[in-house]
Amino acid sequence: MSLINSERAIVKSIWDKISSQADAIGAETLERLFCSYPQTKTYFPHFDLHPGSPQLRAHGAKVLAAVGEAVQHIDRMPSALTKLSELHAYILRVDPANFKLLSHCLLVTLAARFPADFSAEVHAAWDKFMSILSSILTEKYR
Amino acid sequence: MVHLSGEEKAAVAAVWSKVNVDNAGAEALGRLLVVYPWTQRFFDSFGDLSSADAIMNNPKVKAHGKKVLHSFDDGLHHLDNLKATYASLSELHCDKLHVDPENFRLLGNVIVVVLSRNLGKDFTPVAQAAFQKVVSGVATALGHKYH
Repeated sequence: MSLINSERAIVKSIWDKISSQADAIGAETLERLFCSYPQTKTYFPHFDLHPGSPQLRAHGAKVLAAVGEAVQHIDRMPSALTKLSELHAYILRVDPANFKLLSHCLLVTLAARFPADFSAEVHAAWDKFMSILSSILTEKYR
Repeated sequence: MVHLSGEEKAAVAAVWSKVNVDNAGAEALGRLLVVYPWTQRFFDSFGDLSSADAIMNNPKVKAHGKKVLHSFDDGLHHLDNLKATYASLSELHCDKLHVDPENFRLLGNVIVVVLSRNLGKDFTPVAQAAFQKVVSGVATALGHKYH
């Protein structure tokens, strides 16, 4: 599965619109993740996970920054994400099922914040992009 | 059986009171067919599904989406007894429609995205969590009679 040119263009153009709110989007995405899928909190026993916590904000910002990196290098995502892929495979070892949950919560956050921009086509392009990103992050797992 | 806390029940009621079920249903089914194009396999008789625009404006998609979300609405009023509520629909989806229950999970998440888009900030994390439980319960109930 790979993005066609029109999908890449959609992903980039939406990123441009949302990037100024990236930190807040990241924090909200994680808040939604931990609220809807409490089992995901098991990866963060060392964090204060209350909404608004500085750790949550910092981590959300980190996650969205990585998404932004992937967008910047959308034409060569696998090589651009090698380090992150290794991190997830050898150190973090987040169960692959969780990537779908995070991706879904990001889309819910984008839909809430950018209702007019989040058309069916944009929804499709971002869902596909996050699915590809997740595959790359889990490709070294075994 | 879906267990919602008092706060979650209130959140579901608050969200649902703001939803135009007809429009949300049309939007949800349309988005399912656009975002997950393989789901179009069940709708050969629906006419033009050749582009996102065609799908979102297709009158059969809209009509069917409306039907689906009204049925979902029914479930919202019987959260303590979803299996019984959806028993005959479950049989229908298995025996006549031959729909893989995985599709119910996909549609459930699309419904959540549609609610989020239409309600914005009002679709709080707690409201989302409550609806994730509901859509999961409905999907399970619809798969219950499969054999």
